[in-house]
Amino acid sequence: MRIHDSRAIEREGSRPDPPDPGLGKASCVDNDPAVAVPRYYKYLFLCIFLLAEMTISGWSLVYVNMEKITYRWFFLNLGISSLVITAILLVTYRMVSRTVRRTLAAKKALQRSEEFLQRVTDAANDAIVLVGSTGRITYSNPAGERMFGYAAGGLPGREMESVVPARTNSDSSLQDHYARLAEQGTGPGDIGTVEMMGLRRGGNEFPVEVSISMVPDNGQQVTEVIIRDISERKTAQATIERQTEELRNLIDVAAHELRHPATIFKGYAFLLLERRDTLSPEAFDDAVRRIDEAATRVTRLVNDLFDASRIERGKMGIKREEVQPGKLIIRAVEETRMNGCERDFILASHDEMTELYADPERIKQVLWILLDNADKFSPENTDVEIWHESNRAEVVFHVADRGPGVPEEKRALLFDRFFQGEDVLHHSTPGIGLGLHIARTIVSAHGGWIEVRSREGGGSDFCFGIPALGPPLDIAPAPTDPSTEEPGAMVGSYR
Amino acid sequence: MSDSPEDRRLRVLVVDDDPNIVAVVSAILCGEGFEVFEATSGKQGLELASTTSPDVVLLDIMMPEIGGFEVYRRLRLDPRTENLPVMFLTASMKPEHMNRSTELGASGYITKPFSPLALVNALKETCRLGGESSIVLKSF
Repeated sequence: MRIHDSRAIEREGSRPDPPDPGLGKASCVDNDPAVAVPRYYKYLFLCIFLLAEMTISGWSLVYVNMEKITYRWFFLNLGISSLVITAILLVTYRMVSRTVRRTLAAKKALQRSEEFLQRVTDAANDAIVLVGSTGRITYSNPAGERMFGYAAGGLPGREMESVVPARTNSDSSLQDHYARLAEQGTGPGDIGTVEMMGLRRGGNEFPVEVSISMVPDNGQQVTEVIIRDISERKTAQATIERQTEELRNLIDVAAHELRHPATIFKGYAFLLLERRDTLSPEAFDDAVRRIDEAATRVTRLVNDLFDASRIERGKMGIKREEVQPGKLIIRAVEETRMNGCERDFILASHDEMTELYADPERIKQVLWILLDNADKFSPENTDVEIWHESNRAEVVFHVADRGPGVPEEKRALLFDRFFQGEDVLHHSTPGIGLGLHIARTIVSAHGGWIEVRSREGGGSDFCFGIPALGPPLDIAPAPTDPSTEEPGAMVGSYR
Repeated sequence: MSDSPEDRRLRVLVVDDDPNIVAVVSAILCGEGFEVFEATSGKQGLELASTTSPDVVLLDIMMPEIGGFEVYRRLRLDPRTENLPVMFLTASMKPEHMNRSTELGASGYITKPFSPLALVNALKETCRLGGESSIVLKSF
């Protein structure tokens, strides 16, 4: 096998020759002299038989002449002798040929086994590397060479330190592991699996899982190192850890967010039940109003979580139809007011004719989210401006406030899930950082975009664009007039 | 000569960035005979603490700009408020926050949502002991 060739070369201290491609192939049946023996045995035994016959016949002729025995006796004698010799020769032939066949079969089986092992190591996805006592690699399967970025036959002869260097592994190097192994004794054994860093030929480091075993070979110990590239596993682990952290954060934030309305409910329930006689009519109304606001806050939280869950499962459906953007804006503002918002909204759209092919409920949901955010983060006595503009390609909606604005470095993260979650524990602004994430998902499902810009004079301009045309009209459902829809249903879907 | 606590209404400063929480706590305490001062930020709470001479402060921990622990630290640095009893009133049930409160020597740690009567009793007990209490009320 190539393994032994390379080791022999390593002992000589030079780079190994490329492995002989013909070695190990199933071609020795024709070339090996031992294989040809049975063919010649047949002729050899035939010659011996004829020679024996001739000898016996000659001896018989001499006997006949000397003793004057009849020809009948001569031929009887000749026949018996021939049968005995033939039987002896046949038995001998069968014994010899059986032995030869068994030897050949064992040799073929050994060769097939070696070839199979070669194919197994060649087909392995993990790197299988043998390391000599000097720390040089004596053998690597193709996966090892691919893993570390070397051409075929490029790894044998190199230092193991060059592919799994100690400097990238703060805990210990492979040599340390070898030393530990040597201390354990000279018998076969392994030190288990360790995670280390591999080094590709180009200098890139990547995480590997290394399994080291000592294999005895003719009185010497050969180190077998099996290396697995665990980059994908590490990436998956990091993703799981991030999602777990997000989930943990969500639970913290949701729990925190629920404690506030629960405090309101509990506090005012005590007042209304135990101290009702002491409450003035105004205090009574105030208590009920604040309970209602707290209930709204809980409902929003639950709806946000529900929508986020549907997004995660890919179940947020989009039902497109022809709608008028101006009407969508008017209805979104009306419904925001219906939910108790007392902010002044300035409707500044001038385009009344444009039509949009989109899901009206979902677009209104985006507008609600943006209007709600603008209301939450705007100072009192400032208004929020909302308008749309359109061209042949898309319709762009704007919701502009006079709030504190969004720092440039946070704009890219603003639409990420739970972005507000980092800060929500440190302020009482309702919400758990899902609103803008939901808005972006809806806009993306329409093939659009959403971003935040600085507004001239202070504040933010949240804007999103929706392609005007949508899919071809021949597969579109029949257009409906949004003004005939029941507004209460839309309020319930988000509020 | 100032009135003793037994002779006048107990004065409570409520500091929380959520106006709804401030409103409900204030409504409960006013109904129980407390005199309540309301602050919706740490900065406003520090100002009122030094100007209104409350008997006890109910202080939220997680607030923007100046958080509850920072407000507590500044109260202790001010000679006018260095001995003022402070009870944290927070939505946080994190052990690190509870431990921090204990380390700082706060008079109490009350989590939201709270029992109104338990809150009232805790405030009265804290005032009676002159801040030498260490009350922990967890929501249930």
